[in-house]
Amino acid sequence: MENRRGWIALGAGGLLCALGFRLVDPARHLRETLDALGGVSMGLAIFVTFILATISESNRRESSGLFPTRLFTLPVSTFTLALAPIAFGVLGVSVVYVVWARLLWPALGRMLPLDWPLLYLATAMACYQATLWALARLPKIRLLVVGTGGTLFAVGWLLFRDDFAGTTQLADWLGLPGRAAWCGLLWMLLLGALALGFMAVEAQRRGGWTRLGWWRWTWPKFSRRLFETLLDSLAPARRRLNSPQAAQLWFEWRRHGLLLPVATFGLLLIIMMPALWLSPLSADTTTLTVSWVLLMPLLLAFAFGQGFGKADLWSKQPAMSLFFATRPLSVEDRIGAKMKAGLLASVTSWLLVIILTPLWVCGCGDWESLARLWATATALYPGATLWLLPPLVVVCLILLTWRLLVGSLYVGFSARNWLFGVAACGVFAAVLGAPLTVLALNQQPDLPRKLLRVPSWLPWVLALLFSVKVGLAFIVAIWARRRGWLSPRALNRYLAIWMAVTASLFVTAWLVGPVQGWMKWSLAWLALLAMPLLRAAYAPVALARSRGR
Amino acid sequence: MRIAFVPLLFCVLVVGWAWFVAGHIASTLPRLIDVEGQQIRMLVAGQRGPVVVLDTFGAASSDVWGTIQWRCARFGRVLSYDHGGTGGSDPGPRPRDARQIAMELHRALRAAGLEPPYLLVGYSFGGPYSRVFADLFPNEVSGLVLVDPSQEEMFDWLKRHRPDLNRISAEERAEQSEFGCTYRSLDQARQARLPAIPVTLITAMKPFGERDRRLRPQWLASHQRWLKQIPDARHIVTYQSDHGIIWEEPDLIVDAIRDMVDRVSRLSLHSQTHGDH
Repeated sequence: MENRRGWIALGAGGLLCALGFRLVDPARHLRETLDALGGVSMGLAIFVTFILATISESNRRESSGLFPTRLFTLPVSTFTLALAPIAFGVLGVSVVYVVWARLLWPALGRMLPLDWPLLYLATAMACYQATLWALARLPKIRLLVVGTGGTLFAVGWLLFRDDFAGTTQLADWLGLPGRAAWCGLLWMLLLGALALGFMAVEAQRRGGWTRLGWWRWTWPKFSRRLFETLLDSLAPARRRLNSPQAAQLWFEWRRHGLLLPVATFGLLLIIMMPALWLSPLSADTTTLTVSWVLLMPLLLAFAFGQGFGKADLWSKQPAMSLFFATRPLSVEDRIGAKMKAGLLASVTSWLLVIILTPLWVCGCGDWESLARLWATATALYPGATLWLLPPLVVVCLILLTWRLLVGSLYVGFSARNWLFGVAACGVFAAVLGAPLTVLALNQQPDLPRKLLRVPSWLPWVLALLFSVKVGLAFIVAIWARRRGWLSPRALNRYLAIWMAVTASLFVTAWLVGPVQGWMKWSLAWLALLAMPLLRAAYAPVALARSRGR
Repeated sequence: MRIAFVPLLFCVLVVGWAWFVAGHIASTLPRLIDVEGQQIRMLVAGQRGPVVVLDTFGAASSDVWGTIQWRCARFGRVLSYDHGGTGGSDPGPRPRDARQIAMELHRALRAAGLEPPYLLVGYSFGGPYSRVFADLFPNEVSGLVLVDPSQEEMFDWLKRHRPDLNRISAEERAEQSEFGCTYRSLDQARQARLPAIPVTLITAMKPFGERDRRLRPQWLASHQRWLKQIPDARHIVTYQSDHGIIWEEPDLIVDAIRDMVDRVSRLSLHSQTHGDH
């Protein structure tokens, strides 16, 4: 019980949820919201259980998570050593599920089954533990396998639903009832995972995978070489890096900027590939998928943006290392390199989306809904505006993605753990909280009426707050300038960029909003708020301070 | 001490722009008008000229008139509002039929201090509502512009030939919402007698889908037959827009309203001159 605090927190969370759901009357209009909350809390609890049940320890020399070596001193067989942690994990995740299924969900008027979900969770846990131990010396592959497996696991339970077409097809093919077929597969996977776990622990106890010794020594070199070649091809250094700024930009692009396009490409594949089997997709599914695809770079940039300002995103230490701190680069050069890398990342990501999405829709989707949208657009906008809008919208999406990447540079530059924590909480609150809030608000019958009753003093209050923000940004920027952290040239350049970006957002907002009046002007207001001012002014201060620390 | 001129100028410009935008938002926001305890969300644009009342089916917020309302504000005081229980207005008494809507509008106009005569513009189901208003308050309406209005004759035809369309469930009828009172409102419009005022009717003939293509000729015929009863009527038929004409051809509607304002002014002048003699 190494993670005693974690288990206690999990138990307390479960009890709190149970109490909360018991207290709330499920017959009230918040029913759907409560269902969503129940689902999210159960998913989180299961996720946390997997983390807490992880039995591995870091090996500083090899930098990998091996089966705890000290346990080999216990006078028990390898079978017991391997089985006990897996059984413990299975027990933990089963208890969590049973608590939610029998204490929480009944309070919402739902009874969840116990049979197949317990088998499903047990198999997932066994596979997870066995994978961790078996691939302990191949961390990159392990990360890939665990990530892919985790994603499959997170959506795989859909196969057990009676209304899922794939289940029926497989059942027809095998001549079995659908769920029975999948349960059979789960049993096979469970036994396979147990065997793999035993073999991995036994191999480690005997000093390694002796029969795979050549693999153990050659693979890391090979994989590193492969990884480096891939990075070189994506971020080539063929051009002469004739200045420290150019070198820094190359470093930022290779080390941080590439993350967004690569993640976008990976998620595009995950979203689009299944459609190859399920095609042709219906018009509505195509529209829904395309909407998510278009949202993806923005969501990813929002998440990555919180850590984008770190000196090294991949380092566990938030503080800047001596190596980074002593590079012959000014504060504004570093910020400039980050901003340029961010812009490059945004452009590349959107290029991927713009190239791949139409191809995918042509191959697997249905243009009908999208054509209907275009028909509506042709009705709403006059000819010239109609053809001007698509490029303008693309430019704005790129700029917004860039803004999400670089908007919180000060968080990374500050190198403060608590600020990272706050930023991470913000991301979680936005990702989990926003849909739940929208769901909850949707069910308030009086809400649309209240939202439409915008008090006439509100715009003036917002203008006042905005003026205060601009004033503070001015003071911070001037202070940074006086301390020598920011040159007048860099400051003026950022102001010019701010003006250009805001102007393009404003023009797009003005053209997109077909209705005149307060709605159109409110869009103009949002354009004014899009680009950071105060945070941008604070970024050089945060970087200079953390550099000198 | 050196002054950072460019950043300072930037701040002044940005803050000035923010206050300018805030001022525009504040001045274009709809207000809440207290009508005997019921809060009605209403926007009046324009400072002078005849009062133009824009009305449509309650399911649509008054904000749909945005473009047209602000363009018409150059030559009149133009009002759009949310029906009771829709948009930002408090629910009103039931049944929500055309008479109830017309009575509420009348009270709201008085509460907002907008004196008659009124020029009514009814879009879609706002057409029957405007006709019932004109029947209830014949001395307060100076002109009528109907934009692709719903016509009782068309609904009768649909009932006979396409009973699958416009079906209203028993629950919706019992609820007595605007939608549930559709046929009741149409009956009230059928019984309504228009005063001797100029009328302009715009028919949008561009079909929205294959099903609509077959219905459009009947739609046009119902408009033509109704207009035959009106002595001072103008009929505009457009093939450039479908029923979403207020978004697709706002210029056409603005021109029709301007034309109606001119006609009403000429008639008013004429009657004054005639009265002098």
